[in-house]
Amino acid sequence: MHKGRAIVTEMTVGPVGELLALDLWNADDAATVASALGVALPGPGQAEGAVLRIGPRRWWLVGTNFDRAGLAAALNGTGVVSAVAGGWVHVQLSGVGWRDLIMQSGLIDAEDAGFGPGTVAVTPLSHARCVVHVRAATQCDVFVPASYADHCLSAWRAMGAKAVA
Amino acid sequence: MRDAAGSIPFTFDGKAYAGQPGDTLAAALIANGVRLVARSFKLHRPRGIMGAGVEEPSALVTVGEGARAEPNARATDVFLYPGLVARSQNAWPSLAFDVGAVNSLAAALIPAGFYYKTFFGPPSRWMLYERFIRRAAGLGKPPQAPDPDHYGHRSAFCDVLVVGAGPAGLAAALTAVDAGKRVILIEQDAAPGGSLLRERVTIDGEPGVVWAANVADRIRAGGGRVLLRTTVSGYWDDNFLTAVERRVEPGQPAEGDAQVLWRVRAGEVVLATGTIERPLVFANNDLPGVMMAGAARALALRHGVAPGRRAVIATSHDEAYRTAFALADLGVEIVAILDSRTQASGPLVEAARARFVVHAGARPLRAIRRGIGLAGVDALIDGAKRRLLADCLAMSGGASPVLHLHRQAGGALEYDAARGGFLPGAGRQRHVSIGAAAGEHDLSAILTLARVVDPLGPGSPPAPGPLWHDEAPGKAFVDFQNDVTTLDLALAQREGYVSVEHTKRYTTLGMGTDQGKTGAMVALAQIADLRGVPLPDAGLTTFRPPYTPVTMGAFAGPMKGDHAAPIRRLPLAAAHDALGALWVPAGAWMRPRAYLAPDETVAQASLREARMVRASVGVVDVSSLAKFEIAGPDAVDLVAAVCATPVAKLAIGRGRYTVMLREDGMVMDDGTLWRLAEDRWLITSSTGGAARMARHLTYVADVLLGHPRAAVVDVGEHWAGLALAGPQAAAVLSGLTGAEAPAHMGLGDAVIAGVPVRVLAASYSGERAFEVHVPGHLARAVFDALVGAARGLGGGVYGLDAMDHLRVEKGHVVIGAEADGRVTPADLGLGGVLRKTGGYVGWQALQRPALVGPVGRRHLVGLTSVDHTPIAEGAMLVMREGEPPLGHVTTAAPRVAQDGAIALGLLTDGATRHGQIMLAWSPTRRSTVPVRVGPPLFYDAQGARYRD
Repeated sequence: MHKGRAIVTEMTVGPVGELLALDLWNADDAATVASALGVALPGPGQAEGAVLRIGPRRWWLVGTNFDRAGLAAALNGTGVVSAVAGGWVHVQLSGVGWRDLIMQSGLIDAEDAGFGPGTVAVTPLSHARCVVHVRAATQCDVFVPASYADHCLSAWRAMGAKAVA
Repeated sequence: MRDAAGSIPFTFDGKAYAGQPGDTLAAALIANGVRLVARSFKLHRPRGIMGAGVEEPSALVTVGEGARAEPNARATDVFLYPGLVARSQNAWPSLAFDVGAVNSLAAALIPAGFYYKTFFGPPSRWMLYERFIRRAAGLGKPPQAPDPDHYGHRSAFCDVLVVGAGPAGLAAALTAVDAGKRVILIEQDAAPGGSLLRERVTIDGEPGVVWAANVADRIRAGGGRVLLRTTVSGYWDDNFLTAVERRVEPGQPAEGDAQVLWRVRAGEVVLATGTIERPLVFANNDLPGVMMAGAARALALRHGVAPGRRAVIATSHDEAYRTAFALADLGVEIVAILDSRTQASGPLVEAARARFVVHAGARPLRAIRRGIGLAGVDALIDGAKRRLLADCLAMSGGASPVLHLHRQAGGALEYDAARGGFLPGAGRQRHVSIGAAAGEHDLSAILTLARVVDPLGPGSPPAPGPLWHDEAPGKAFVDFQNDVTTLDLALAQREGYVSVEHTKRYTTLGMGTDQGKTGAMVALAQIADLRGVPLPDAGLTTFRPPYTPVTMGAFAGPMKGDHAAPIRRLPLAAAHDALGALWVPAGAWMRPRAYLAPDETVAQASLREARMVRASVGVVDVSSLAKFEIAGPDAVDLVAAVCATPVAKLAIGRGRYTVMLREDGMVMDDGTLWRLAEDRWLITSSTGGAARMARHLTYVADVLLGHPRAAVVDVGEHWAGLALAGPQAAAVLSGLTGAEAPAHMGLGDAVIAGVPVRVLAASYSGERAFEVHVPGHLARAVFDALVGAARGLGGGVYGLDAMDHLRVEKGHVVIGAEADGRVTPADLGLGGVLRKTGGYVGWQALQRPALVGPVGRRHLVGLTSVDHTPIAEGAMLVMREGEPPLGHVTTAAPRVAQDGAIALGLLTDGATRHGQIMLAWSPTRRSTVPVRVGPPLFYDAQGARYRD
């Protein structure tokens, strides 16, 4: 096995579980909507718990703590909720080398001091449009389009990452 | 002092030598007395070491063995490692006795552009000529085996990128780090220091090389990234630069990546790229032993190697005088310093006069050859020719700032008459040139905050004397790598190749790996003189990336083998593998082409599968189809804009075939449209057009409709899709769901194998059919249930080829083949499905007279092979062989329902040609098949089989 650049990163791979896309017609309504929904709707490039801002007017609600029908009703015409879980694979990167792995895979400034825990980036990695959620200094979640998952994981293993699950 | 025995073993042309740590291959070869290193490109003249770094034009060697051999490596840019194997190139049978050297004797017959005048005739003859030309001349041979090394790519971002770790670059990088900036410092050498590596100055009380290493350490300690052995290969738009880092030397096995291609986005770029010394032009100036004065000084001061025993220094400025001191201190006898200036003075010159013989107004006329090397110099001294015996001639005709990156960035150039060269002018991006690259020569001025002590004192800035002359017999080289002489340039001018761009192509000036690094300014001077214009008016060629050669492996990086291109896998890939699927790429996707039974061909399997669908039921994976949910109060407006078919009256729970147009009215995609709820719609479209459709939906929403209250959610990957088709399809579905199957173009929710699914009743095969949509990560159980139930009724799985056979027989179009971007809905026979009230994208364009009138348009037609012979896809449709084509075959297939061969095609005025017999003619496939033109429908014209 090619040892890449001696990245110290472990990959934990699994299905996303539940994942809802929340679209608002007007992002300025986010605070009001958040209050009605009972969830935080973070600003651009940010995450708040299990809620990730992934577009100008789109958030992701990750996990099983969200009731789709309840959310749809609470939105009251200000937006819609759609299920998207089947299209994504969750990869957790752990270790001091995850930023290096990301920067070998794409053109993103993962070394920027501002790209710390709680930040989110939507960026191509190994040709696939991925969502990166920084969880800690040595850990991030990467959501990979399911069809590209084999390709990305294989590429990252070749770069030195080690799959642990 | 060098250890005479050396400590690093290496070989050159099979002979064992030893060098010392830090040696370049060039330094080690000279230290071992090897002066002949290469043969020149065209004339096979003997060549030695001329430069000291990447500017070396002549000493090209192949380093490494087998698949790891790297041709055309500059001996001056390869650092020694134990076991290094180097070979000369372009010489046979040996470097010392090279048969190709006969070219030199016949040089008069092969001047610049000789092949343009010699090799006439039909193009095919060039294939013959080329073999001999390439064998007679050229560079090293690339290895034939796959490269065993790995190459990496890495992005990097910084506030300040400094290119060049000479004194100016080091100082700039340190200043930026101290100011809290994110800094990257890139240096192509193995050590920081640049010119300090070949000088004796002290800075702040430390030797220059020590000061440089300490500054580099301080930059690292301050958070800066210092990349040594890294060359910036290109400066692109928006301060984006690429750089190649060599982690190992050429031919050296690597633990990890052998090289890394860095992709750097910088806030500011500081170009501290230094200068390249210019040669002097005189007869035989390419002999081994003739070298740049700076290179001779680097050999002496950096490596402790004497380039000869008796040296002549030829110069037009003070700097080369330093070489005399450096060589003399190593025991080299300085025969004389030839200074082309008639009035030279200053501390450096005076110090030299006190120690050496200095001739003012003197210059070399001709290098004298003995064997393969330099024996002496005929020089013009005091107006007379004198012969000086020497085995080393260190020359310097000034220095040219390295402006490649500045120019690649779009920077302007300004001509400096005093320096006889160009300096960087205004930049177009956020970059600045500093130090010697900006014309600054004085180290104290560059390091304003440091205390610089130069034991020889400051010299005058490098300035050119006469840049060229060829008054003595013998070849005077301007471009050493490409064997371009003053005579070649004069010939090009005489023959009308006046523009420097034409001169370059006619003579090969500035081509090859050298790209004119040493010879460009000298050549421009001669061209200007020959044209009688000032040098700046001679013109410049383009400074194209890469600055130095970049191996293809670095470009490819990790994208090789299985990673050469991204492969998209279906969510049920493992299930298809278990069924023995034969995979076929469909865009980036891998899809099952067929499921072969033992001893079955693909064609046999596909036809068997298609007939299975017609007879009972089949399951095909259509997960790769694009799927978009459009939701929100204004969703209907967005859907109506994108889909050219009726929309508003579509009832909830119903769907219909739809077609999407570009703004020019041409068909962009097709698929189905479903109303899931009052304000939620589902559009399916082609696999290959998924990304285009996603962009189109966003464009229509954001640009044409101005952000309606509608979300476009790409659910293509969320939903796996399994098409169930055949007369038993409804029975299979009902058996699994316990409910009646939806009517044709109806939809409903159901549960299969405990998994909630969505069932869409739509047919692409001509049979009663359904698409079962299930979240991708839950699809396996549903797939297994469907396949199991289908098999119970005599059915099974089918692949892409069978699906294609079925749809051709039914006359369904596919995006790319029939809908090739040049056809309207009417051309495809779909005019009747369009929304009569318009209002969709492309509607206005369809009103153009050229599209309204049917005459002259290509129409979709069906083609039946008259004699049952298979029809070639892509074949031209002609009345007789050799006549202009009236159309072409878009897709061909065997008949499924009966024997025979059919096809779809696009045919000019095809709708009026039904019943005609034409030829499907493919000269490239040597196929001519008579075909009968008809409507594009071969099966169940009434549509009875797919309705309830």
